[in-house]
Amino acid sequence: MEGSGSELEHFDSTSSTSEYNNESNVFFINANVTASEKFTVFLEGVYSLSKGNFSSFTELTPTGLPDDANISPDNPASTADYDFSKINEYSDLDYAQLEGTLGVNYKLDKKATVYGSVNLMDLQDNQAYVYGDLTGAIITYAAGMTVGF
Amino acid sequence: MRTRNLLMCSVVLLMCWAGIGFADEQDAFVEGTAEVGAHYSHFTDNPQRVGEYVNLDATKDLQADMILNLFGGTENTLYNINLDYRDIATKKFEFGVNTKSFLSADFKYGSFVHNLDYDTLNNMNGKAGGKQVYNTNNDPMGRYFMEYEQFHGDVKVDLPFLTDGQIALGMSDQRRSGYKQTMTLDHCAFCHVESNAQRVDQQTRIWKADVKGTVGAFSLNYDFAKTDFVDRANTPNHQWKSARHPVNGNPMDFPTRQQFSDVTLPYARVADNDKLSHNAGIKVDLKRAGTLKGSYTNTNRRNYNTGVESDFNAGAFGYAVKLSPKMRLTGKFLAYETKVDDAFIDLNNFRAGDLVSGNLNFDWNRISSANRKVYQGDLNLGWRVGKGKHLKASWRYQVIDRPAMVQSQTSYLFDENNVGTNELVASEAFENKTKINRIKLRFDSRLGMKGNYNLTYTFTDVDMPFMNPTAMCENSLRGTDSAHGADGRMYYFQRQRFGNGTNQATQSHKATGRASYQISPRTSINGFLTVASDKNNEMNIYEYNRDLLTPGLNLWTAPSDNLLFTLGWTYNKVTSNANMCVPIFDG
Amino acid sequence: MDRRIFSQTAPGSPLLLLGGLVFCLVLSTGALAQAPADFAGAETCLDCHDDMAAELLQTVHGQLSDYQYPGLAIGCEACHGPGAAHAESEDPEDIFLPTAEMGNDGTDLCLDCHKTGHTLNWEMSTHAESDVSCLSCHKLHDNSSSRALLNGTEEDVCFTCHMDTKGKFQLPSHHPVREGFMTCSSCHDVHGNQFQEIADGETSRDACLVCHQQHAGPFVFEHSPVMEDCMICHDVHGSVANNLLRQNEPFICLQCHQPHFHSILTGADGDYGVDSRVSDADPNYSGLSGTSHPDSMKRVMLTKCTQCHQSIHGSDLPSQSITGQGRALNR
Repeated sequence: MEGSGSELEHFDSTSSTSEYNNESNVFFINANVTASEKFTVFLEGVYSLSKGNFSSFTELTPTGLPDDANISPDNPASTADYDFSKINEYSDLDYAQLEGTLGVNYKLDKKATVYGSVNLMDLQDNQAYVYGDLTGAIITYAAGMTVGF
Repeated sequence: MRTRNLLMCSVVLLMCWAGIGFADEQDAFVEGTAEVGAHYSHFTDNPQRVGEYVNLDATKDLQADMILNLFGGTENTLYNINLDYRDIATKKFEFGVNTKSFLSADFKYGSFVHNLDYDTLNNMNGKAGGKQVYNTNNDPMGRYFMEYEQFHGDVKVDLPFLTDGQIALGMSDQRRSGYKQTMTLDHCAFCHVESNAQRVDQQTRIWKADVKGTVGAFSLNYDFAKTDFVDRANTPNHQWKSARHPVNGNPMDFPTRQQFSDVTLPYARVADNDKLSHNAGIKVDLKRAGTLKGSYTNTNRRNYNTGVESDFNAGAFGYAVKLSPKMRLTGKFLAYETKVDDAFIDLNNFRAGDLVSGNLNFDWNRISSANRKVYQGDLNLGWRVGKGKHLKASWRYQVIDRPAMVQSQTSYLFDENNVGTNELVASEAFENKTKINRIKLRFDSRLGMKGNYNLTYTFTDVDMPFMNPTAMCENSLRGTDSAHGADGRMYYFQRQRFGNGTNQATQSHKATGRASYQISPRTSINGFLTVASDKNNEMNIYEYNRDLLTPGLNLWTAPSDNLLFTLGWTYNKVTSNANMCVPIFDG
Repeated sequence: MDRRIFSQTAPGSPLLLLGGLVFCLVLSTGALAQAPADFAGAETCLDCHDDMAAELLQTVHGQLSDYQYPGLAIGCEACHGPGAAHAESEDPEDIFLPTAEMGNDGTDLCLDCHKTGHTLNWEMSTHAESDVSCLSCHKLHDNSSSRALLNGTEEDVCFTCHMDTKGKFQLPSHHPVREGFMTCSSCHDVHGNQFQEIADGETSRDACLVCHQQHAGPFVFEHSPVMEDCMICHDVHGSVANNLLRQNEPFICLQCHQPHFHSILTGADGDYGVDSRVSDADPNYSGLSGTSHPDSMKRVMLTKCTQCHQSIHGSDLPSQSITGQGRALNR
C-alpha cells in the first residue's frame, strides 16, 4: 500500500464506535431408562444456539471541513462513500446446532450386552460468511456387542 | 504405515500376554470390557463444520468399531490396555505397566481428523476507478483437512537408594498432515488474491529427561526437553506479476515502489524451529516452619530458516506456611526475561533511481515485541473460618517492562508548517511498562447440610496495558500551501496515526458464584453465575468496554430406580466495543 | 490429487518395542517387608476390609516396594498408622483416619510421599490456595480401573467445579475435548506451575506452542499481540467465530487497527475486466475479471482481513510494499 503521490487534501479522520455481541444458549439432556431387567434405553443430547454480530457503525459524516473541501456524498466529483452502516452485515454469525444419540442396550447375560444407537449431528447456518452456507448433517448408525470379564 | 503402528502395538500386546503367562499366576487378575461393533455414517449438505472432527472419508463405508479396556496384573505388576478404534484415522491406544520393583512405562497413540473451512473468496471482487480487486481460486473444490497423529511414551525407573527418586525418559511425536487453504496477494497493478491448496506435513518431536528425588528435607527436580519442529512439505511459490499502471498498462515507476515484482518467490513458509529447555527446582520441607521452593528455567528457541533466536530465563521463589491449624499463607516471586534477536530489514530504496523525491531509504531494525522483563509477586492467605467455611484472599503485583511493545513505521519529518521534508524518521520502538494489581477474594461454605457454595470476586487494575499506540485516526496533512513532499505530493506513508486501540482493560471486575444442593436423595441441583465488566479509559480516542454474563443450571434427578435424568443449561453473553476511524480525503 | 498422507515412520515404535520387551522380561517378585511390632500388616487389614483393601492392592498404592515408603510403615498402615491395636479391638478410634483427623481431607499426608515431580509446585498452586484437596479429584481405595486414580473421567472431575467451561466446548469453534481427542490436562498443569498458575508452559503463549509449533517462530516480521498473549485474540475453550476468535473478523482487527483507506471508495456497478492495454502489454494479466457493486470495496476490505493478511501469526518473508517496510504479513 505505497503512496500514490496525490495532490489531494487530507482532513483528519471521522470515527464511530460499535459493539460486538457474542451470545450462546446451550441445553444439555441425558436420560437413562431401565425399561426392564435386560433392556435399557439411553438418550444424550446437546442443543446450542450461537450468534456473533456487531451493531451498525453510524454514518461517518465528515464534519468541520473547510469551505473549499471537495467532499460530500452529494458531490458528483467525490468518489468517497462514508456510509459504513451496513458493513456489520458482512460478518454476522448465527448457528443452531443439535447433537444427539438415542440408543438401546440389551443384556444377554451377566457379562454380555448388545447395543444399537443412532447419532445425529445437525448444524443450521443462518448467516453465511465467506465459507458459504455451512448447513449440514451427519447421521451415524452403530451396533455391536460388549463383553465384560 | 499407520496400520504398522497398530501391528507393532499388537505384537507388544502378545508379548506381554506371554510374559504374564510366565509369571506366578496365583495372584494374577484381569478385568475389563471389550466392545466390538460397526457403524455407518452418511452426511447431507455441507459436512465440514458440523463434522469438524469427523473423518469424512470414513462416512462412505461400514466401519468396524473396537473398544478394549483391560486392567490386570499380578501381585507385583499392574498393567492397563485401552484401545478405541473408530476408523483408520480415528483411534486411540494406551498401554501402561507398573512393576513393583522399579519400572513403569506409559505409551499412548492417538489420531483424529480436523476438517477445515473453505473460503470461497466471493467478496474479493471490486472496481473503483483505477483501484481494482480480482481473485483467482485454483482449488474450487475446496476440501481441506488436517490429520493429527500423536505418540507419547514415558519410561520411569525408580532409584531405590533415593526417597521418591526417579529417572524418567519421555518422547512425544506429533504429526499434522493434510491440506489447508493458503492465499497470497500481489499488488502490482491491482489487488490480486490467489487461493491455493497447500500441503502440510509437519512434525513436532519432543525428547524429555527428568530426574527427581528427596534427600532429607530437600526435594529436587531437574527437567530437560528438546523440541524439534519441521515441515516437510514444499513451500509453495507464487509468481508476482510485473507492476504496471492499472489503466494504461505502462510500466511506470510502479516497480520502484515494490520490494519485488515480476518474479517467482516462496510464500506461506513455515519456520522450522527447535527449543531447548532446562528446568531445575528445589523444595525444602521446613516442617512446621513451612515449605520453601525455588526454581530456575532457561529455554532457547531457534528459527532454522533465519537463525533468529529467543532466550528465556526465569527464577521463581515461593514460601508456604501454616500460620495456625486453620490459616495458611503463601508468598511467591517470579522474575523472567525474554530476549529475541533483533533483525535488520534491508529494503530496496523507494522509487530508486533518478526520480523526484525518490531514492528513499525505509530500512529498519526490527526489535522484537516479545522482549521483556517481568516481575511478579503474589501473596495468598487461606483461612478456615469455621466448619466447612474457607476464606481466601490473594494479591498479585506484576510489572511487564517491554522495550518495544510496538514499532512505528518510518515516515517523513514535518516542519513547523506541517510541510513534509525528505528527512526520514526512523521506525521508533514504543516502550511500555505495564503494572498490574490484582486482588481476589473467595469464600467457600456449606449450604445447610446438603449443599455447598462459593463466591469469588476479582478486581484488577492495570496501568498502561498492552495496546497499539498508533492504531487509528489521522492528523490532517493539509498544509497552508498544500505542498507536502518535496515534489508537492502527499504519500501514504506520511499519514500519521495518533489514536490508541486495544482490547485490554485498565480496570476489571469479575464475580462468580457457584452452588450445589441436594434437594432430596434422588434430586440435586447446581448452578453458577459469572459476571464481569472491563473497561479501558486510558486511551485517547474512545473508552473500551467489555461485559460478560454467564449463568448456568444443572439438574440431576432419579425419580425411580429405573429412571435417571440430567438436564443442563448454560448461557453466555459477551459484549465488547471497538472504534472505527476513517481518514477523510478530498476527492 | 492423492490426499492421503502416510507416515513414513511409525513414530515411537522402537521405544514401544523396548518398553514391551522390558515389561515382559522384568516381572518383579518383590516381597513385603516385615512389619514392626505394633503394625498388623496389610494381610490383617484384608481379613475385615476385604472389598476395600482388595481393590487397593490392585492400584499402584497397593504395589509399592519397601523403598518407596518414606518411613518404616508399609501397606495400609503407611497412611493409617499402626493397626495392631485396631485389629485387636476392632474399634475405629484405635486407627488413624486421615480424612477425619487431618484438615483438608488429609492432603498433607499425600504430600509426605508426593513431594516432587508433578506435585513439586502444589503448595503454591491455585488449586491448593483455593483449599482444593487431593480427594477432590482422586479416589484411592475402590478405584482400580483409573490409572491416575481419578474420581471419574478427567472432564467429569474438572467440570464439577468449572461448569462454565463445559458450555464453552459446545460452541461452534472449540478444542476437541468433548470429542475425546484432548483432555483438560492437555493444556493445564493442574498440580501447579511456577509460571502460569494452572496453564502449562513458561508463558501462556508457550502453552499453546506445545501443539501449534508452526506459530513459534521466532519470526522476523511479528504481529505484536501474537508475541504478547494468544488470548488477546483467541478464546481457547470455545467461541462462536471460527478459529477460536473472540470476535469475528473484521471486528476483532478493528479493535487495534483502522480500516484501509480504499474502503471509502464507491465501487463501480457491473462486470469488469482488465483493461486491454494492460493485458496486451503483459499476458499474465489476461483473463482476470469480476463483478462490482457500489459497496464492493467495503466488502473487500471489511469482511475478512486475513484473506490478504494471511500470515497473521508472523512471517519470515517480507510483504511487497517498500513503504510498508515488509511487515504487512501478506506473505
